[in-house]
Amino acid sequence: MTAGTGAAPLTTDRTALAEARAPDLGPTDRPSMGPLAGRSLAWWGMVMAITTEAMIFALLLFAWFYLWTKADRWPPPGDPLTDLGPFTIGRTVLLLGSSLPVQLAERRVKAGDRRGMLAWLALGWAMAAVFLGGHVDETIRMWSELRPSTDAYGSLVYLITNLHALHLIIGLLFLAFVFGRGLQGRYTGDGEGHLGHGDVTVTVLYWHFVDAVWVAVFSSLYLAPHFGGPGGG
Amino acid sequence: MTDAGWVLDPRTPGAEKVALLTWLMLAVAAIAFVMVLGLLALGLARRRRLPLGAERWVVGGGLVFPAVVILALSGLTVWALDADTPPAGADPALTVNVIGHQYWWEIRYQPGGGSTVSGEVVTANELVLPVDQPVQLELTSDDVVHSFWVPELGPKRDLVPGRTNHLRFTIDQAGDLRGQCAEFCGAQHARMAFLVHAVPADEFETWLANEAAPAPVPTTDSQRAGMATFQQEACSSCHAIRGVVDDPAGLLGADRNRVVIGPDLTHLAARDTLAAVTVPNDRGHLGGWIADPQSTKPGSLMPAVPLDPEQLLSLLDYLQSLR
Amino acid sequence: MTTPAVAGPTVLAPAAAPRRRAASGARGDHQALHDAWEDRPGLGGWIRTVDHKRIGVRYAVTALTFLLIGGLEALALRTQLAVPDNDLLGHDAYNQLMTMHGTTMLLWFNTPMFAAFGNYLIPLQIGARDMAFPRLNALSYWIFLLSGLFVYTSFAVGEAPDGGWFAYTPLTSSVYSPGRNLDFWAIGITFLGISTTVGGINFIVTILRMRAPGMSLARLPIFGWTILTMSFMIIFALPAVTLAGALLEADRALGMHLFDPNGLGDPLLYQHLFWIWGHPEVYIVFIPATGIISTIIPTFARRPLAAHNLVIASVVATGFISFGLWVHHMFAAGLPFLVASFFSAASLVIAIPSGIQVLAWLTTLVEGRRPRLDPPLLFALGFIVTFVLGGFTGVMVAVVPFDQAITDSYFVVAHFHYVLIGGSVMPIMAGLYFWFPKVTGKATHPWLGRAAFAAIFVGFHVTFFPQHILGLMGMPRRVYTYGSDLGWDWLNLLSSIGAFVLAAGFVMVAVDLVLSWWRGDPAPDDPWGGETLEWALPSPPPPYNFAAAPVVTSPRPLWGEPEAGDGSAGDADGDSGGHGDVARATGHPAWDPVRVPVPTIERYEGEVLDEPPHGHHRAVLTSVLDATDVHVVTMPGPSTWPLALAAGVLALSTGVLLRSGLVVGLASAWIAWSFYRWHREAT
Repeated sequence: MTAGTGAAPLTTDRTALAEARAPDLGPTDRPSMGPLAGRSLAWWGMVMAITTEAMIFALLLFAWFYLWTKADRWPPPGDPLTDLGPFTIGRTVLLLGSSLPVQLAERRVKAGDRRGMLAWLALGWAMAAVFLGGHVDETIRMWSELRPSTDAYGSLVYLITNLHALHLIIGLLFLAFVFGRGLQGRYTGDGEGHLGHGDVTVTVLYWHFVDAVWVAVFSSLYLAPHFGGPGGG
Repeated sequence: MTDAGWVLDPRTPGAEKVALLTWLMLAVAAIAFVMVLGLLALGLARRRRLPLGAERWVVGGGLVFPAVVILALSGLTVWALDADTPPAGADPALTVNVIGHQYWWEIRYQPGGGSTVSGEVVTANELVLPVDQPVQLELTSDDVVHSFWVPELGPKRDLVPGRTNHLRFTIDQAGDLRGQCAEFCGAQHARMAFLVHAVPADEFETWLANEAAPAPVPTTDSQRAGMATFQQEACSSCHAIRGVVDDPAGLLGADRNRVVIGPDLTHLAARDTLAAVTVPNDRGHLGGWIADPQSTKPGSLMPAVPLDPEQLLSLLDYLQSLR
Repeated sequence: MTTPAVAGPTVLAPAAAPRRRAASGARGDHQALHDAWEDRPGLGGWIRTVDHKRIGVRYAVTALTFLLIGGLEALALRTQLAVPDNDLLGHDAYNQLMTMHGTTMLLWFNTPMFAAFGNYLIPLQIGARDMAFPRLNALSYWIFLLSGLFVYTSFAVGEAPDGGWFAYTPLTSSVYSPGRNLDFWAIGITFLGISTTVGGINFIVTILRMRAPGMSLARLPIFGWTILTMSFMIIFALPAVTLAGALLEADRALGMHLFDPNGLGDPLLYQHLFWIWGHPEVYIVFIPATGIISTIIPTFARRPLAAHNLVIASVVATGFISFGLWVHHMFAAGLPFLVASFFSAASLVIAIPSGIQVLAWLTTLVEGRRPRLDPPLLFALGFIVTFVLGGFTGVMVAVVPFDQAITDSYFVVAHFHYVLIGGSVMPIMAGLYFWFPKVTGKATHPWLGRAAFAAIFVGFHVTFFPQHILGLMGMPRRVYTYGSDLGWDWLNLLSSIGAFVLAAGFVMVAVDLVLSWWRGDPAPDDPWGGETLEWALPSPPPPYNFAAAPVVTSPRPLWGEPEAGDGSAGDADGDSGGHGDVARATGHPAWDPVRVPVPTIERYEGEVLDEPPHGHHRAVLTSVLDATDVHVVTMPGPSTWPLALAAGVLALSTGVLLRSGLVVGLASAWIAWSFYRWHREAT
């Protein structure tokens, strides 16, 4: 440890840590050495990844409102408004609702309930899949009136909704991966190959993020143009 | 052609403020730099303790000193920017549209009420301006982003397609200045310069009246042949000569979309230079430029037009008559 | 017990016998750890490694290779500009080399160079065995390498990017740049962005969770603070340039109109996106450079950094303020008066944290021992002089009216080379010389480094000082030639001569480092008497870094505190530990630090830390703020899949370049598959 000076390292175990804290933190309890307190590394990594991804969406929406304020009308004359019919609202409710079963799946796995976890995961997956189907349907219907190459409005509508859809597909793949491992019992057993439930926690976190992004996208692309906003409607 | 510029040789009230500000900042920087070198020299000498302790030095030199300088500079920024902002309601005597094109400048005068000339006057690459009169430039671009910069006239301003930027100044001294595109705009960004001729007001009016007139009528056979060449060959699909070819290539559409490809040549012979201040405007350079544009200004969008020698000579005669 | 048992020598450590990783002595001590952590020999081990030190060295070698390439490009540019009306290069070649010089230097050299320092040093300085995500770390490197190769393929096909390093639209749209040149650029920076982002996330989580027991955030070494700040800046700023590149490519490839004024887009939107990243980027490559300087100067002066906490606050403040400056690159674009004034003020304010740091270094030197003029210190001094000048011109260009006069001229070229070479490359050279003995176990040549410094310092100023004047004389940047009638001749010639002197200096550095590594004299483990944990390890450090977890009780774990019982080190106001108090009390400087041994934890919950179960990579996690709550976890081991995934991203980029949906589809499937396999092989 202290090669170079020739000094022998001081060998201690837990007490060294307690001493180490003393000058800085004042007299405190012995540090906890139990099972991992706080979040896993993967959880922290996901939080940071979400932060940077959220910046991407924030900047895209910045572009949306920036070009909106420069335009005389938004959507530009001739371009269709995004669809705010019952179908869009319905699939929005489904997607946002899917956060609940996915959250419950995490709770079940923590309780060691494999079947419950799988059932909730499957439900959440199906709800999001319906949302995605709705997105494809909307894109097909919109295609005859508006394309990415029509103007900047069309470019942003397609870019933002499809970037969200891409995140959703990645989320569905994550869920499927977790579902597969759950099926093998690797989160709930306690034998060789047991993984804890870190995967589930991180996937659920990502899932909530995808839902939260949709709230921002829905408000900016669907709601705002229907209710005026900067630059008039 | 004229010498390069010098930012610290201001020719407008606004630029004078900037020059003063520059000297001031350089002086403060020089003093601060000497102080830094002094401390550094102390650091390399023997160890000593700073009176009052190092932290006070850090706070004083690193926080208080820059904060004072910053406050002063913020005030000076507002003071110097002020010259740049047009006074409300004051109409400039002269408005000039400057439109950037890849590697040349289209210049369109919109004379104000005080001028004897009415209607638009179009030229290229050489901006003749009256002294002691407020001038407003309206800057935009036809293709990519360019930037208008004459060091002696103060701020530069970008020419951005889809927007119009403004630049207002009053030149207080007659003389020739050189400007250049300052935003990278492609292959020949390096040879996209222009000249500013600041002249007394009466001289300007004379010049403007001449520019406003249609092209001179050719007087010799050779000039007439040159005009015919101009009309028949590819020249006239890009260049206008008012009274001869007003609408090159029929591009002035009904929806008034202004499409300009090459510079207006109505009074070409009155200009000092060719190809955006690349070569002097004399017979030899003009011939070389027409015969082989790429050797004069490689990357220029002007194509070589195949002409036989007689055509070229008569064309030169004609173009040189366009005063 | 943490009482320093033995006070080590206060000055340079005695030249201990060199320790080699393979030497039986070091190996025999912790056989099981060695077996768990050492890579298998041969190509397989080389490809699969997740060792942060090997990856860090790899990063450094690759980034320095890009420095060499970017430097050769710069020499070509300066040769072209040495005389007026030169037709050595022509506009096509010049514009490509000019674009690639800027792009390479900033994106493929400067930013990754700090990933190199961070990768190598952060785990060592915080007492960890590896980064938080070792495989992501390998992925970062492979993507960095492959994205660089991708962009440089453009030269091979004769279509190198030529739109300037910030690639303003519409010049870079498919209308005005129909070739594939700009596709290489836009795809390349998006591709590279993955590497930088992943690297940033990795540094953040590593620094937050992997610090040695007792190393509260207040005790994090200052270099760690700078890397932490840089990483947060990366994850907030980098999405902007990734988006700028991706949207530019969307306009080009898919016929979108985001930046097209004829399709309701706006070219200024691109400028905003680019500079929202572009300005913080300047600080992304400056902040960790200050971390290197703040490490080297106290070590040479034998005095703890003056105003230590104020310096840390300055680092963090710089990170925040740098996000409020981006419009200062657009002062000539025609902005409302109030907007310009706001960004002008923000640009001025950033002078304060820089001023604090400069004064902290200067006062540390003044109050420290007369330093030995070794290369690390020489480069640090060169940095201070050069950076201060660049800082002054930085304040000048923050003043809107002055900026509008000189922006996009050679004055600005001079300014940012002062800030980038002075503010970032000189500290990199200082850092290379400072940590070279640690990385290689070898000493550098006794005078070659000093000669290199002289050439770099003189060459730099001869190259770039005249450019200030050229800018004031009206010479715009990015011109491939100029007329002989403009009076710019001799200053340009002088600048070009300086460039060759500067280049000679870098060649000397390269020769010194390569030859010293190959057959240099052995270096002691702690040649400078450093204050951070890496100097307690053998040189080069063993694959597992620390056999037992070090316990940290001070911001300078290897420098003892002269005043017993003074635990306020790093927590009090500006004064660094108890040294200032001692000095004031006794009336004479008493800062010569005492080398102390580091207490360690060797056992945890029945696990002996140097005998990892199952030969796994076992590492210690601690809590975010005060680094307690010790927990031992198994880290992922070596894997082929990071490289496989990076290759998939290369294929994806190539697919976009070739506009091939099939390649894009196959590559995406391969990426998903690699990701799946990566996670299946968890350890």
